[in-house]
Amino acid sequence: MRSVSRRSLLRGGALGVAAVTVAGCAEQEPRQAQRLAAEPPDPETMLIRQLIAGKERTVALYSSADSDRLTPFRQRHEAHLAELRRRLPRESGSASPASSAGAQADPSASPSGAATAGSQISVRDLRDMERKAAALRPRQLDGVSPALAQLIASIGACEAAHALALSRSL
Amino acid sequence: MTADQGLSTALAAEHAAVYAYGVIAARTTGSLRVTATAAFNAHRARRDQLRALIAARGDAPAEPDAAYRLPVTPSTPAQAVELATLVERGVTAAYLELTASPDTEVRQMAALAMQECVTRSYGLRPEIEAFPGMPADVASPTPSSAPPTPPS
Repeated sequence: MRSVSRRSLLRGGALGVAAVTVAGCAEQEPRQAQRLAAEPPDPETMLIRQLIAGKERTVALYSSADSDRLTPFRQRHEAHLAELRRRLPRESGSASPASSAGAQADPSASPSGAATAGSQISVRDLRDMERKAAALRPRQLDGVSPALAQLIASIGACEAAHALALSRSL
Repeated sequence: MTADQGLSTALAAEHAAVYAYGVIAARTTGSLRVTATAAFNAHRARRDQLRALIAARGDAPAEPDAAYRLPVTPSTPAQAVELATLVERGVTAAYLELTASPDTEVRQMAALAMQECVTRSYGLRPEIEAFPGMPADVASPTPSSAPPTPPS
């Protein structure tokens, strides 16, 4: 029978301690994640996420329209999206499109017609969506920070101009 | 910024806009004059609303200056449009400042007024900015342009 040297025993013991330590960390991580998940984000972060989700949907709808004439409209929405993502608190880790997928989309980003991101959308649908978005913005200013209020108001003004421009192209 | 400061800034911008559109309406004809007159009335209505808001806070609203230095003298229709769009841009910036007010109702009024300015401007010149009222660097939103100023 092969004897186990004292040195290898000690090494094994050290590895065992390391394994236990790693296992301990692994057990702690889910608990920390659960604790973080249980803490609701502040209302402003939730609103930004909602706005991001709505803008992602709007960009997708403009992309589905597949019209060069609408490209500047989509680009302005993409600029809104980029700025909103920039305003998202870093620790929320939600600056990626995938992470905002769980947020409830801004209700203004739903076209009134039956068109969805997967089907062709009409200019009339886009105009109605822009109108709804612009009308919603003043109501989203309650209780948010001054800087976010300014951003939302500015986005709303852009959407109001979009609605007018799309009306004229009908 | 306090609500009162923002209200005073917006009122000053509306005073200047009323003056500028008065000049534009006097120097234009046809549909442009109709448009300028409608804008004059719209800005006058907002001006009166701001006056009332300031008075309701126990303050005395500022009176307009006797005259304002216009950035463009509207001698042609193109110059009239240029001046009108500059006016709308300046008033939009003033209302953007007011949307940071601690008073929610004031914020909402300012946001709606911004939408009016931007759509009026689009009616004159079909251009759209992604962030109306804000400077190119959105990171520090401050008024990007000033409305006509009173002569010094």
